[in-house]
Amino acid sequence: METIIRFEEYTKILKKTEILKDISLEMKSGKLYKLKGTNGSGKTMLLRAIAGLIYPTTGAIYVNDVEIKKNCTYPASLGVLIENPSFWREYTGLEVLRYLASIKNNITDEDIKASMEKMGLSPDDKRKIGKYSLGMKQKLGIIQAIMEKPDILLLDEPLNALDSETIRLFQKVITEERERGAVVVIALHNDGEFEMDYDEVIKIENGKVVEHEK
Amino acid sequence: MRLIEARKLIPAYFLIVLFIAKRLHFMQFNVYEMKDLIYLCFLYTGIADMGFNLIHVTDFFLYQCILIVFLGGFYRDDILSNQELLFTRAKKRKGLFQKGTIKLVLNTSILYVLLYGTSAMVLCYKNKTKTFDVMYFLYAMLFLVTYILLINVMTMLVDVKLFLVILLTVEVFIDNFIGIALGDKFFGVFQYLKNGMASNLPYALAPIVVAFILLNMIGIKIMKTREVV
Repeated sequence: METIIRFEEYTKILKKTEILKDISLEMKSGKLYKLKGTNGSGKTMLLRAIAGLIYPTTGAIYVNDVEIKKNCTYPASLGVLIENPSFWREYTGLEVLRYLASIKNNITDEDIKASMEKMGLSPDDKRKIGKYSLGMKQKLGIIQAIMEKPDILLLDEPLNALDSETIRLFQKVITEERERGAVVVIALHNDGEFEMDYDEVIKIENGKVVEHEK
Repeated sequence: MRLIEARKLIPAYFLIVLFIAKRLHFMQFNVYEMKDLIYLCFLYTGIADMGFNLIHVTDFFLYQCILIVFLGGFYRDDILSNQELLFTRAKKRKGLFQKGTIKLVLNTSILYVLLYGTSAMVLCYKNKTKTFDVMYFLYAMLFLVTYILLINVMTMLVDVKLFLVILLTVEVFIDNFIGIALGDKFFGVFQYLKNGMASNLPYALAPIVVAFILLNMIGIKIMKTREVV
């Protein structure tokens, strides 16, 4: 398995606070990683660091051997669900996904619809996002992350507002993504009904990796 | 009396445009769809026909400025609230906001074109019993077509400075050469355009320049602070 993500003594200081401290990690293709920790422990920041949304104060991060730093490009193949994305309220789910897909323009309408169906959201639903429930918005967030079949999948608290049936669908999706060869990183503070066989579990406290089970 | 009634329509006009603009999301990264453009054409034609010529020019530009700033606000909010979704799909970090800003400025310019063009044509039509001349109509068409062509060409470029320079040059050319030549000969619609809008470059360009500066400032600020959560 190929190393896709590599942290080297990564430290991030924001407003004089160390939000990530001396992180050294490797993440490989086809593996499922769980980030666990309490609220505010630094899980989301670690995901943001991989996504290139923040840069290191000291140390480095490499994605596919390319260093993520100021003014660099974002990792080329990335699916991201960080916190609760606010989609455009006036569009239907399919319209939002089409719009997002048009930026990279590497998937077809059929791919989008197939991804929607995987997560139990109907492509024919004419309701606007403004009328969506919290759970439906969360499904849409997951769909937009997986639909382009990215090499790296970063999911921050993906279970928020999902019902039992959708959690089962989500488990199936994650299994498929791992088998496809993607690096899947899921940040969770509570597993609930989500039962997965993780390859590695990383516990973060106060921005520091305190446990790393392999 | 008619003037007062027309002025009362301005806030309604403003709100209608704002609502539709927000609905269409035309200021974002994607280009216009033809149906949206046609929709806006109808909207502006209708507004122009309602008595555009009675609205005071200064008020008109004031409202346009406010409109652009509001649109800029929507644009910024959309970008900010969806930054993970948008940024992580972008091919390049650099230039994302500049491109967005160009699209916004260009699209705003298209609105101007539609407004000027349709109003000029409506005025031609209304004035036909007194001063109608085929030249008025041709001038209005020239104004409209030149801008649309210019803007279409400019969408292929990414250099905003070049865009503004060309825009300014064309403005000056139309107003000072073709415009004055025609203006000395005819009155009515041309005189109105010449005195009120087209020849008054600071007024005509101010909203575009203000929008450009404001949005770039917003864009740069976001680029600088977007690390902060």
